[in-house]
Amino acid sequence: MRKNHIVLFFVCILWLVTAVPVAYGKVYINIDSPSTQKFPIAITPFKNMNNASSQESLSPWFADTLGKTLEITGFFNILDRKAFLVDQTKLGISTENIQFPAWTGIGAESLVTGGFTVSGRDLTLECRLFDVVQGKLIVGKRYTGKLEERKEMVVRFAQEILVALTGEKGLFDTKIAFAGKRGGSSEIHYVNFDGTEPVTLTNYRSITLSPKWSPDGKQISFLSYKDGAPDLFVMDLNRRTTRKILSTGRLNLPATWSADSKRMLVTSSKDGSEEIYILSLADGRMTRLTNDPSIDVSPSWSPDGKQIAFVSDRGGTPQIYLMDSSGAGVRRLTFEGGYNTSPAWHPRSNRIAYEGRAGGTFQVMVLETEGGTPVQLTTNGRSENPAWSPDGRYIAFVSRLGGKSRVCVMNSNGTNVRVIHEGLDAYVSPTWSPHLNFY
Amino acid sequence: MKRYGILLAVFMAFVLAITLTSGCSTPKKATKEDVTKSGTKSGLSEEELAKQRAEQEARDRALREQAIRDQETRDRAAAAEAASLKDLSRIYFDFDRAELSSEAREILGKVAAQLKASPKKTLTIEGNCDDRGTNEYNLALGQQRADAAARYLQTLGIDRKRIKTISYGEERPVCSEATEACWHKNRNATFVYR
Repeated sequence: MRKNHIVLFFVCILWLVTAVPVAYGKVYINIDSPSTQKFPIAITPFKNMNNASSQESLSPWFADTLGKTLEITGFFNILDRKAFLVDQTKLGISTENIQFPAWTGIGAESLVTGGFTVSGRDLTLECRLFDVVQGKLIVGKRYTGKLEERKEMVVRFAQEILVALTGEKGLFDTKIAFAGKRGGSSEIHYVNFDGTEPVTLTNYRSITLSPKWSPDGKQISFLSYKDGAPDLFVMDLNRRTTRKILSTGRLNLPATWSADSKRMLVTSSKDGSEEIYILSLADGRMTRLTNDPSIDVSPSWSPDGKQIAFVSDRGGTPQIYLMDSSGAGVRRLTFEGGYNTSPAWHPRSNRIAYEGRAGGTFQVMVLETEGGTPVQLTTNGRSENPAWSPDGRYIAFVSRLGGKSRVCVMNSNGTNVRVIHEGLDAYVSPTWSPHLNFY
Repeated sequence: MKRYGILLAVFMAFVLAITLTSGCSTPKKATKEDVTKSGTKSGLSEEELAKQRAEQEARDRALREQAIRDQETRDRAAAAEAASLKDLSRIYFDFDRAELSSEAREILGKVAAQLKASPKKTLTIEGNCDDRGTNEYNLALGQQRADAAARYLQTLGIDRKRIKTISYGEERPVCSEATEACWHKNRNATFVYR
């Protein structure tokens, strides 16, 4: 993905192999519980192992960078260094040196210690994660590389911490694409999970909307009026080449890709009213799924590809409906609020995130596909266009508050809202990439 | 010596040709030749030709000027029409609806009359929405609004081939305030004549 990605040479050493299976078997943070308490973790300044002068500033830099990286996940409470009772950099950073009671005493459940050795431009970094309650090492790693690769080393260890404590490596190697509007035109942009490295993908000075990232991570489909009509395009992200995949002279909208990245759900009004089709990318064949004179739009495949959630106003107002992937068995899912759109099927469960009308404005809701009472995740201003992260633990969405539009990410329970892009006139349709493995 | 022989042969052939033409084509061709001869030979005819050319040019010029005047008249009429029919450039819709109001149908009736009066004109109907609701849904809604207007014009006898529809959803607002007055303005089908 990243063009000037430096190959990071790293050595991973599991320090206490026997401790690992035990540690991995335990779930320290249950992400999917609705009211996750933030996990208290202490990160000591990193030890300057060979006392390289002029590198003292790296000691807090590693601790701060790791702390910020973990904080973005929304799962951690990074304990304030001022509250620390002992100086592990002086006592030592290995298991035998750790004063475990001094860490449980300040409320920590985990501790990270680290050490670095700088020689010229070469850097060796050691990181250890401890369970201070049980008094044992959970995971330890050593990375070697260039000094300028230190941020990547920190992110890699953050991924180790996430695997050890939550069972998954997190989303640092994912990106979020969206359409950003300025002065009457809109372009496709993307940023990293943490909002860094913004890239503008298109420059058509037209109306370009609805990016959808392919599951293989290599392509983005979108809609653009650049040739006068709302046509569909697919961009190859490595080659930056674009090809037109659907042009009917009438409205065409891209939706979710199939798991094999070979087919795509689309909306088209080519046969009259807006209907949902499966478009085969190899031969352009379209299979019609809906047949109703009202609007049918915004289809989203279930993770197993057997069902589709979509929006229809066949009942008089826009509501979320479900159907089999053949188009049969249509049933209405939402009944509250009078205006429910933008369904996004959770990547691992039978939950649908959508945008629903609540109290005169629009908010992000989540509802089980069996029905029931929707859970409202957002409350401020207006929140639209939810998109799940590939692990289903986060939702990207567009927030409109105080006359400003922003692309935001929140944890799936609605907490930890953070802005990942702002400054343009308006934003629409965020889409989350799969893991792109650039860390 | 050979060269003389060839020249002689050419001369002989020339003489023969002249005798043949003058001998064979006696009365009919003479009249025709006379006409052409009098046209090309006499100085008076040159003048006449120049005069004819001048007259033709004058006629062309007059025609061109007339065409420009006509166009100006048409433009003025169109401008006056556009001014008087300013209300005919758009029809408006209720929130989340694509049904035509009686007011919209009345305007479409005048649009149809206008299209019948100028059979060469084509019409593009642009469907627009206010910015409430989802932009994808609004793109579909804008298409429905444009299609509703197109269908009604068709029932009034306008050839569907003369009408193009395009939805811009909520992407081309005429105003951006979060007021009912502005939302109302943005929920429209806009008529572009070409």
